[in-house]
Amino acid sequence: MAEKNDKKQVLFYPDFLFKEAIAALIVVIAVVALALALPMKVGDPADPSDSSFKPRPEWYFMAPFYLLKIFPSSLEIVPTVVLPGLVFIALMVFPFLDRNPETSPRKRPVAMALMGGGVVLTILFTVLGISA
Amino acid sequence: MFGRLIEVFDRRLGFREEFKRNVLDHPVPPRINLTYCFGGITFLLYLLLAVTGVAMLFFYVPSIDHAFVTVEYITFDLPLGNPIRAIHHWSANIMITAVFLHMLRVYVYGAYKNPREFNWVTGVFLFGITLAFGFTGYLLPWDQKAYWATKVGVLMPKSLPVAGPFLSQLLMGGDDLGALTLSRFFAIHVAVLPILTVIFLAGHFWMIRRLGISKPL
Repeated sequence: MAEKNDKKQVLFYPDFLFKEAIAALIVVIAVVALALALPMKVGDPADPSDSSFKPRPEWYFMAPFYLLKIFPSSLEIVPTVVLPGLVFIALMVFPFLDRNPETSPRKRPVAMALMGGGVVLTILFTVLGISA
Repeated sequence: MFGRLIEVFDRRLGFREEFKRNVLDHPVPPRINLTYCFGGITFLLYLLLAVTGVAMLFFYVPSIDHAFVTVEYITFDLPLGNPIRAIHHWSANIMITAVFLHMLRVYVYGAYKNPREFNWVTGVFLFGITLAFGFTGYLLPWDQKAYWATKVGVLMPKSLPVAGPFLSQLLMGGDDLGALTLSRFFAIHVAVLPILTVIFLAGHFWMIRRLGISKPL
């Protein structure tokens, strides 16, 4: 069965575009439904003299924000510059470091462990930041 | 009428055949699954963000005296203003999630490997651009939430020795978060980042077209 499938030439249109179109439709419906169900509001106008306001970033910046809060101020450079910098550099050079030609996750335990660790820590710090 | 018009241009430009050959009839691996859609979804959300963003540009004024009032106007008085702003907001949030899932899919399938290393590299740049869109866009409504969260962000590079204070100043356009920061973030959000996106996305898409989609597991 798989062999037969392999021989058949699969084209972007209509094969893949059809799947994309279904996914696109679901996403557009979800975005419009959220937009109508949860209309936008506005807060209070910015007041640079009122430093009592507790800052809160968007959820996707929560992980570094949370680390900034838990690190002592003498080590502030770790969450502000070192960690975000290392994450970006690591992502950027990763394909050149990982020369293992295997693509199956089962045969790439190190790569999978790295990813798992990264994802778990990111989600953990995000959740801790949001619930703090 | 419209068909005739297309005919007139197609006879001279031949885009119909090129589009069919280069996009529609392009082979993709068999047994491709739904997780391959995250990249396309990200692109779709980017287009939604561009359209709703341009719509808001007609009414938003990026100065500290007008930013808040014009956002208030868009949100409460402009017909369709609230859904347009809300679609921009939700598309942005879902786009971050879609980028994350797209990267995870590419990683798990080992799709970043030779010869597609630079698909991944352009993708990491696009990821950074997406976060920069989120960071700069958050300030534009110029409310308390925007002001104080951005303040934390622009002061972050300051802890870097030597170049840090300069980097913070560069981000803020001065010694404090104020009128110049708003102008700067606005320009970055609506001009610099869209241009960078087009450049990196062109490279990203061109390489996908040249090297094909990697085979599923």
